[in-house]
Amino acid sequence: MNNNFRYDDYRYSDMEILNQNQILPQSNEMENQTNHLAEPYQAFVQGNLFNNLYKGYKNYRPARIIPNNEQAELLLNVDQLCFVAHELNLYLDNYPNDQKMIQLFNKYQSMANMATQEYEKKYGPLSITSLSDDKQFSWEAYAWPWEVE
Amino acid sequence: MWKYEKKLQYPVSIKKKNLEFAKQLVTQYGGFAGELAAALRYLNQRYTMPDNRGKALLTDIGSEELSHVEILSTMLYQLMKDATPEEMKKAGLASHYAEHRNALYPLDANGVPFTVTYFATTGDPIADLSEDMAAEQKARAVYESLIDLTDDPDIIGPLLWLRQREIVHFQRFKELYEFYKKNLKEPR
Ligand SMILES: [Fe+2]
Repeated sequence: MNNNFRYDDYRYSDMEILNQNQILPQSNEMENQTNHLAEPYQAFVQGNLFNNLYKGYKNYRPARIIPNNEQAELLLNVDQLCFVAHELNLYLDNYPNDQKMIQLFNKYQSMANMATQEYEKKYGPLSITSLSDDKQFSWEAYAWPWEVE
Repeated sequence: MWKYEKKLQYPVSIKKKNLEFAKQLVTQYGGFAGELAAALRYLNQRYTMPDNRGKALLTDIGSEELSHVEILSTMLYQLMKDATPEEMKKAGLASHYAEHRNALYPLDANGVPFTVTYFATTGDPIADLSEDMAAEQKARAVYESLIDLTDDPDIIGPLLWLRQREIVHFQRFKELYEFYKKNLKEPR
């Protein structure tokens, strides 16, 4: 797996990598999950992409998240798309051969990346690797996520 | 390695100071069913998972738990923000103030500091995943108890959300557990 680089041979000439990953046989995929998927906003606010897995508590309904301004709106878009991609990611960890879900993951991950760029253009970097061509060090020019405005 | 994203996984904005509740909520930061224990449990167990499914799932859920630590920390920070020593005293947090002022510290609701004995690693994937499933159920139950103890919608929103994540994580661990039960060569 990690054989696309090597370290200089230094001392151990006969080193062997023991116990290579034993890949287990593939399981049958679950019944088609795509029928049960919530829309991104609903998935995000309920904390669960899979409507068939959702279990509420007492008579509570998930809190609606209502953005107050453009920044919050763009951030909500990032949050919900990242959330969907992350949920598909966890699913695919267990069912790596589910082609339909792989396609959905690719779709939502690229939408999440686009939404992130859109947010960062106006409201500052969400990740240090988004900094480039900066006159000021914008990483600390914007509020930290635990601060209340 | 890890990469920080300068946002919460789920937004938190608590407007009302509430020291009494902070004192209970802290258990989901540093208590036996807390997010810190969850993150360390999965990230520590992942190395000896027998295939790439297990390595991926424990890495990804363990990383998500780190972002839940951040959500909990944000809630605690906002609940205690600008509390005076007098207010801390009244809420039974004089000892917290003495040692930490208004800073965060991973404790349980009884003030017992975080300890790594809240989780185990046996190196046996079936045993470890059984623990992980139990841990998710315990965290779900504690979130429900905490929801019962408040009526502030700014607090209930994130608690419902975090509770729901435990349900999803439980399901994923259970699927992996069943897969290993069926496919691992040494029967257990
Ligand atoms: Fe969890």
